Amino acid sequence: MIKLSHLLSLLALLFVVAGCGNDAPTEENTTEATPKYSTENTVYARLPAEPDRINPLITTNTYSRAVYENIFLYLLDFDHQTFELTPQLAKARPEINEITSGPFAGGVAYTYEIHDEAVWDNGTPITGEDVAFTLKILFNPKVNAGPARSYLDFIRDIEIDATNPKRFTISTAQKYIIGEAAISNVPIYPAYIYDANGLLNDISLVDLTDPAKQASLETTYPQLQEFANIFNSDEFARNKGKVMGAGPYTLESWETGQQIILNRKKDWWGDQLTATNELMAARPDQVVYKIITDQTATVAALKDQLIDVTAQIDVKDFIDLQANELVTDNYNLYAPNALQLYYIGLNTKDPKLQDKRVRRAITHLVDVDQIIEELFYGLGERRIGPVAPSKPYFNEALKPIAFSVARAKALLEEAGWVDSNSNGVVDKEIDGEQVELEIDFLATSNGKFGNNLAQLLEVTFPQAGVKLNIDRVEFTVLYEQLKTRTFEMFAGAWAQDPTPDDFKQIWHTDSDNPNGTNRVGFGSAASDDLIDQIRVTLDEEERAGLYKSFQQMVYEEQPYIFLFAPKERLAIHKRFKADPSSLRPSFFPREFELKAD
Amino acid sequence: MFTYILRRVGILFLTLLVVSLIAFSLSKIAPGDPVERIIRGRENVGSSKSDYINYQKIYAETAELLGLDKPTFYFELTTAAYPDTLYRIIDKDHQNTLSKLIGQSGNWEAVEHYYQQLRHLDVLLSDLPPSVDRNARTGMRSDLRDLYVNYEPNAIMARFKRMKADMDKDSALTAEVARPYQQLSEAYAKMVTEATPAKHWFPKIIWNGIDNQYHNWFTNFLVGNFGYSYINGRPVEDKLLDALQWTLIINSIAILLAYLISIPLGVYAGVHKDSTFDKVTTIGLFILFSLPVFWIATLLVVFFTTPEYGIDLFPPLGVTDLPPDAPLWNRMVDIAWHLVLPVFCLTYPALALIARQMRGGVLNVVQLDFIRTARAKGVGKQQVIWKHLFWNALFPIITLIASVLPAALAGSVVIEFIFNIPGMGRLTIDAINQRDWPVVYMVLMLSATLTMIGILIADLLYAAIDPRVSFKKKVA
Repeated sequence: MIKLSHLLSLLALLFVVAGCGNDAPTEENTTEATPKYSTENTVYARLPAEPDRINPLITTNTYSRAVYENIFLYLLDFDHQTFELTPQLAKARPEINEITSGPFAGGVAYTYEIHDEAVWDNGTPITGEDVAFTLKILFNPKVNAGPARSYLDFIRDIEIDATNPKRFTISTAQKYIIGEAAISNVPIYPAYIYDANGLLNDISLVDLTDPAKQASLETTYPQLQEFANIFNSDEFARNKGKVMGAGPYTLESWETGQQIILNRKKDWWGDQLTATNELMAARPDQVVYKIITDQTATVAALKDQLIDVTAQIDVKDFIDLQANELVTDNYNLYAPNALQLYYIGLNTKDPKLQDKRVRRAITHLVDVDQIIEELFYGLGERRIGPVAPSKPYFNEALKPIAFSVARAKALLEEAGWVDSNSNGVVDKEIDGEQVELEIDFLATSNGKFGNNLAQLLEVTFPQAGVKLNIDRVEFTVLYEQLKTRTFEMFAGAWAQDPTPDDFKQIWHTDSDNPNGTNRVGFGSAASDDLIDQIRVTLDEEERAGLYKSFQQMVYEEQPYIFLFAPKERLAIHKRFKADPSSLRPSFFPREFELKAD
Repeated sequence: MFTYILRRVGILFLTLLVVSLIAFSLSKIAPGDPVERIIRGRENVGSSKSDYINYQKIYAETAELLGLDKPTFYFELTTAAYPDTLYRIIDKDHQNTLSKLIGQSGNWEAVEHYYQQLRHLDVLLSDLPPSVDRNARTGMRSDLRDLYVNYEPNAIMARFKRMKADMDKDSALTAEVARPYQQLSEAYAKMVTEATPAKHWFPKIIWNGIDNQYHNWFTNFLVGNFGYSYINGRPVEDKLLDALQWTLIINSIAILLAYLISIPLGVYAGVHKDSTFDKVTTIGLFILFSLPVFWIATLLVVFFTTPEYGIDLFPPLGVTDLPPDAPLWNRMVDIAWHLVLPVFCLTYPALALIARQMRGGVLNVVQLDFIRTARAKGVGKQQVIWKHLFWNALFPIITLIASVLPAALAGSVVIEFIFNIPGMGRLTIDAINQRDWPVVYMVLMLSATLTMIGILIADLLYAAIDPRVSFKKKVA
């Protein structure tokens, strides 16, 4: 016989198990939170994916950053509207001096001073020592901070003012246009939490930044490993009380796949500064990040007012939401420009594509306006080069390459491509062989954008006698072909930054190697020189000239067909006063102000 | 009976061993390099990351961290052409290229020489006097570095040709690298002309010792150390437990409900064969069975979770809105409320199968003599059904139970995605996509174990229910 009572008790037991996320018994009235139609001063923000860890130096995950920016503070951060570097933990932007003598001659010294009020949660003042500690973590070779380290590897030493422990100078080995931004954007860690045993006390930064000394320390100083074991651990990436910074919020809990709860500190040192500095704003009592991956679920959550803010709404959904009163009654919908750039890459070393006239002809065959309209419902801004039009050094003289079959045909003919065998596809003799202009377009089998784009190109290319073959492969296979440079054409996107562009990584010939990201094989001595010069020219006007020449060069070469910068799509609940931003993730819950009614 | 169980447990361990071997080798064959996956996630940072040397350093560090710098397995079954220590070339791309080249040429000395010349020229090209024309140099270097990942003769020859052309453009460059270039091309030529493909005919076993990737993983597994996720460094068991709790709750309820509903339905339909009730339930269940879950789930979310269509009955997503320290009872009610729709979606497709099996079982038994005898001697109808008929009709249901255990843990990817439940299905798919092998291994091992246990339980149940089934050796 089925014993129904047994089954029911089993069911009840299961619920109890689930209910006991935390075994601490709590009083009835502690958290009666029902977020739907919430009126409390809590921001429910959606994250489209789970962060990997809340430990800034060892993560590069965008969503981790969104969360830890509430907990940690930088010396300076980018203003969310103007993108200007603005003080956070530091009183002002640093004094910048070129170093003319000593071991770091030719480098640059950055002198900062930390706010007098700034203290950790235990009441001890935040000083240059904490910055030194943070940099020691960064340069400890055993800490998994490889990417952050390579970004900041020009740092050499830190010197703390003997009379004022809040004032310190960071020395670097070379001039670098985004040196100030890079150094200023390191989140500062409290030593009393992350190194309670003082494992790094007896070591100096200058020893860690010197490769030879660092190598010997690795063997003679076991504390480096000991510290790294603690710092890299899971505990310091997700546990309450172990994730701590100078910022206004503390990590309260993290339920995998569900939510991350941050609570506002009661007496935060920065309270005195919030009125005058928007980057120090900390208005909500609580920020709850809801992890919602599915788009349908996100839309449902909006209709149900379960979340106060979300970005990265699918384009089609966004268009539908704009017409949905249920949503527009409760939410403001925004589409600010996103710092992103979609492109089509061409292998400039491929025999068919090495002539820049052919590449330009192909650009003439891409109807960018149609792509924006059909694939992004108009939510995109056409781009003609790697530099965003909003930047002061954008080269205005360059005009968009228009969609024109006639121009494409003319250019192809000029480059020697004609349809000699009347099969509808132009051809040319290369190395004694008659080659048809057939181009393989690499797309991932499940990439929506790449596939839709390919279908549009499939229509326009043949009009000028160019045959397009769509090669749909698994992502790893696509990546393999990019690496071995055996591809001809592919589509992709770059995330861009508000800082002055550093072209080294994508455009320099140093990056033209299997693991480098100059995948299209762009570059010459002249372009390399420009890139190198831009990197070290601190004078903005002089640099603008260099930037413009570089843009001109890229424009002429057309190694990429630049498509558009998409608009971000986000919704913010009307119960809050808040502005969207072009900076990722395009909203900052700390700034949300609960409206009075 | 006891020896039977013992034997089955022995088989269970053997199966686990085989599963672990298969899982492990598949992960090695699958395209994609976890080290690169981890580093590549960071492509948008870094000024000097384009620096080749720097990249290689980070690569080596990361590989060491993951234990991927060790040989793969205890031994390698290969041919006499392959060297013993190819694993020491940490970069998976280089290793792969070399392995392919050996495959073509069979002459490891020649391949090794070629690789050395390649590296030698690479170093030279990175450090040339300023008198050298940089356009020629960079062109040559970029093609040279392509050789690290290209192994097809045509691709290699094309690059040699371009390198030669670049070198000839500038006399200063020619002066610097003509000799090493010559040596490199000779090394390649030698690899081709002095190929010893015959070596591939001789098998060779390379003993790698016990400090290998598989051994380290499997011994750790046996002592309960399941490793750390490549993606976020969390202990695998923590990740699994987090996911498991939700999957277990949802699936147990769904399975329980499915049986509770469909068994009485099946029995009744079987007993009243061809009645209107039988026909209606059959059609109804089959209609349910044929409605795709992803579609129904999406419809439910759209219609029943928002005020848009006036029926805002359920929360649209997740398992709970309350923090873990909320009062227990509130949290339980909240969770129950959240789980109604996902549980429904998991339950309804199972009804048809179980009910039909039950009905079939009943039909098989209902015409047997002992039922008629029971009826004839005046036993009440309900008693005949539930006491005589039901137990004998349970066989097909028990067979289904074998699949219940693994199913309870497997998690439904579709349901978990649509209702935003952080369960096993999502964990598994994410782990596979991210090449997070430690997590994938554990999921596989777990499902293998549970499948075996499920089958064992079913076998034991057969014996418990039907005395005709026995695991004792028959004595002639």
